[in-house]
Amino acid sequence: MTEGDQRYSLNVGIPNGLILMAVGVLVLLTPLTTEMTPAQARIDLLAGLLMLAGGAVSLGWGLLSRRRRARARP
Amino acid sequence: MTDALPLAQAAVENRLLPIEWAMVAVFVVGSVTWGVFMHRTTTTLEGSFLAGRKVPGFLASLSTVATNLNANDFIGGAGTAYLVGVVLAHQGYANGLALVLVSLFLVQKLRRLRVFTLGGWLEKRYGFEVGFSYSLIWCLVWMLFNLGLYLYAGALVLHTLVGWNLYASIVLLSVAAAIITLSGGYSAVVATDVLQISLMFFPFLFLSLAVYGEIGGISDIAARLPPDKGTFWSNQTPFGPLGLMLAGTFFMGASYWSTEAQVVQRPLSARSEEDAIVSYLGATFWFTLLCPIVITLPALAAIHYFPGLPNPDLAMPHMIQRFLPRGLYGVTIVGLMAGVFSSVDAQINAFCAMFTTDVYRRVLQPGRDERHYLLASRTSGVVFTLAAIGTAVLFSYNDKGMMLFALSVLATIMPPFAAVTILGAMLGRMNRPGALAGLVVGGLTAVGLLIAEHHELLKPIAADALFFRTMVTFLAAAACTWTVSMLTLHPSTSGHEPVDLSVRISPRVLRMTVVLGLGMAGMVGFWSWFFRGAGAAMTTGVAG
Repeated sequence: MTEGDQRYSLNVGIPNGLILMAVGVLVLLTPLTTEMTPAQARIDLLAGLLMLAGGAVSLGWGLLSRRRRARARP
Repeated sequence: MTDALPLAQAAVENRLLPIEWAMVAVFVVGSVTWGVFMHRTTTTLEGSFLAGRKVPGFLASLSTVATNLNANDFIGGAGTAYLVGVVLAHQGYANGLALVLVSLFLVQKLRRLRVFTLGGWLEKRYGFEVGFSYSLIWCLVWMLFNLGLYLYAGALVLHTLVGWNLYASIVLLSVAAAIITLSGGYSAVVATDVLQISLMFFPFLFLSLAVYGEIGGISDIAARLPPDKGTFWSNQTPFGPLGLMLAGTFFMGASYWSTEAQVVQRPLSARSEEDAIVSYLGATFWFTLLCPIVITLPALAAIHYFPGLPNPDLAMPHMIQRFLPRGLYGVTIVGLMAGVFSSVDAQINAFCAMFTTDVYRRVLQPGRDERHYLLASRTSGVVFTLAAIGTAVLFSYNDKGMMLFALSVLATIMPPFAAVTILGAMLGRMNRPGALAGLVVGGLTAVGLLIAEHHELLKPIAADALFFRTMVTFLAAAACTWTVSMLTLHPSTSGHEPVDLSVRISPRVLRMTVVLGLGMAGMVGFWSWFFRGAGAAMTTGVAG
């Protein structure tokens, strides 16, 4: 891989993962700060966990790609 | 599509809670920070406009979807489905078919020449006049309207759902999107696009599941619809007879996917010809298979839950309010905001690419170094954003008229260029005189039809003749291009360098196409089965 390749490498996984995880945590916290029915709280809880998990996968993929590129660099 | 503008009248009284403000802040600060961080990728024109042509097909397809889906589609598209009924679902596969054909037979040829814009490709294929006329019209007319429209519609959604000041929202959206684009270039645009997909579809998937859970299932949605809105194979549509709507949607789709600047930029940025095809085929999955599930079906359910809404665009906001808890409501707001961001930054980036390479470098200041052109690109991006803010403010004074005018502009300028582009990619015999004649005749036809519709002369054909005008304009331009090309000299005799127009279909692309074909056929079967017009009879047996 050349220097040019490295310069243009697209690392979408890291920002996507970080922002998704942060928003996921806030969704998880919403039932604690807002009045809602138990059914609604369960939906928010599930949604928050899914976003957190999706964000973690995206972040992991981004970090892994970054490490691979670093290793491939001469 | 109905417009999302009258959302201002929405009976949505929600204002953001502190925790929802935090979600908005995380998204805006995160996106802008990433844009600034990606500044290192914008040291060359190719890096700034096309991410160095290194985008994998999968990411390019997500970017294609995100660029095309924004608040208008989720709010206005749902409003149209609420108003027209399930017959609108025919547009899904008609548009999908156009998208598949453009994927297989056009985009790989655009990518092959390593151009920056469609204008660049048209110049290499036909000559300077054809390419430059496209770039000039898109830069100076359509992009300005389009960006103004994105900004205004997005700001209005935020104004309605969050209570933000309309003009402050326009400025905030445009400034943040401009910082992301002009700092981080196309790489940052793709990152915002992928984030938008995650944030926008997520709450709508939950909404769909919640609706199906409560109402009982898809057949129960169908049973609760009045016959005029619950019959898939209905011959009457607001766009004319069903056949006309299907053909019109197909030609509108073919025109849009082959000429819209910021959309064409996606396959151009792909890392290979195969990835260029995948960037469009992947988008077809979303538009033909997923969007009907998360947009059309909930909108049809809204006919049952909220019958007789004064404005159909209120259907989706009402459904969001009824079915989503506060946490997911916050994600919806952030998702809609992300939708505006991704459309706006894609438009700014496409403008910078087209103005800098096709107008400034080609005509105004040729022969300067790369740094000069990068500076020109950023300067033109700032001026363009400021001009678009002005256009958005104009929309706020005359929303209906301006929206219709913008759509009319689109239906007028797009089909002639699409006909010339598609024929040029399919047939090596097409030449410069043919293309120029096609553009002139297509343009005159489009203007003539526009005047005819203005004087209500097209009413006997369709209440809304947008699709009809697009189809006739496309066919007129194509017929003229072909005829004049065949009557004049072969392009090889004019000394113009020939362009490789061969079609290469890899096994991966073939597999995707087969799966897509089966998926589209499945969707037609799905709609035909569940919405076969039994609504009237079944409704009598369904309470409430």
